[in-house]
Amino acid sequence: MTVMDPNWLVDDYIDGLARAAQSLPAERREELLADVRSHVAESGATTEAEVRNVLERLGSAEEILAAYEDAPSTPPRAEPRLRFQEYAALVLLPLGGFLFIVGWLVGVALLWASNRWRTGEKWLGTLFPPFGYLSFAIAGLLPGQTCGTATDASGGVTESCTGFALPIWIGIPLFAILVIAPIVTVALLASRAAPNRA
Amino acid sequence: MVVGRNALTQLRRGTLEYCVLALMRTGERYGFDLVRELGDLVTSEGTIYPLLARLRREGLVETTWRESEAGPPRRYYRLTEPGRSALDAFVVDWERFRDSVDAVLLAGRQG
Repeated sequence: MTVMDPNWLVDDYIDGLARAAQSLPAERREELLADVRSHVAESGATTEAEVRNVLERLGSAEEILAAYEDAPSTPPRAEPRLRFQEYAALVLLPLGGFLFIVGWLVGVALLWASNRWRTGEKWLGTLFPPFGYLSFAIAGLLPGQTCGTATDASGGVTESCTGFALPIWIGIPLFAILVIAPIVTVALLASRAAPNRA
Repeated sequence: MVVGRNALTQLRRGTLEYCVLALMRTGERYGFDLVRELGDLVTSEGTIYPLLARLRREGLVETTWRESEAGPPRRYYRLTEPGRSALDAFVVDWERFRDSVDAVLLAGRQG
């Protein structure tokens, strides 16, 4: 019989278990490894034969991990797709800009803190359009073009315009996008939301 | 016999968690302690830990870490109120189930 440090056996077993448990969430994996380590310690096994016996009784890594798949005794409570904070985000993203912009910032914070959306969806919610309908209002406040005609002493008529105007073929689609974008974004976020997507 | 073993596995799977809850009825327990008392009911002892983790997630038990007289600190498990009700409900179901199975098996033997 070769002489072997029994601790090496335990480390080897734990390593194998850790590898097999890769797919578990980190917190659950750490908990399992701590439980198994403490189980071996509680057993009081010191000799190689004793340690081998304890590890054998614990079972293979596959058997232990299969126990995570067993049906729960009570059906897990279905988590709502949208909770209060998600509803708040969906209201504050389009409209929060009018609450001194702070409302929109709170909406963005809620959006990013939520686990209901993926990162891409969060960027969409943040930037399409930034500040929600406030961006539409700001676009509307841009100094519009005003034109007037003046008749000079010689009877000639001159037309002069002040202000800034987007060509109509840009202006109308831009306004349409600014009106529709927040609605599209909110609808998309509401329909995609699901527990633990992020 | 393959079929018989399978039935036993299924029975164990369905009843083990209630046996675990039942052991906590008289007071809090730690993992190794539970395994020792369950004896034959657990085949691979390590499977008790995923089970305990699930019972805690479901709110049927709660845990606390406590120093032990000797050795590393222990995670103690205690029944919660929902855990106690789940256990009580199972005991009623189990007794009815056991009686029905016994009655049929006995009738089969006599008939």
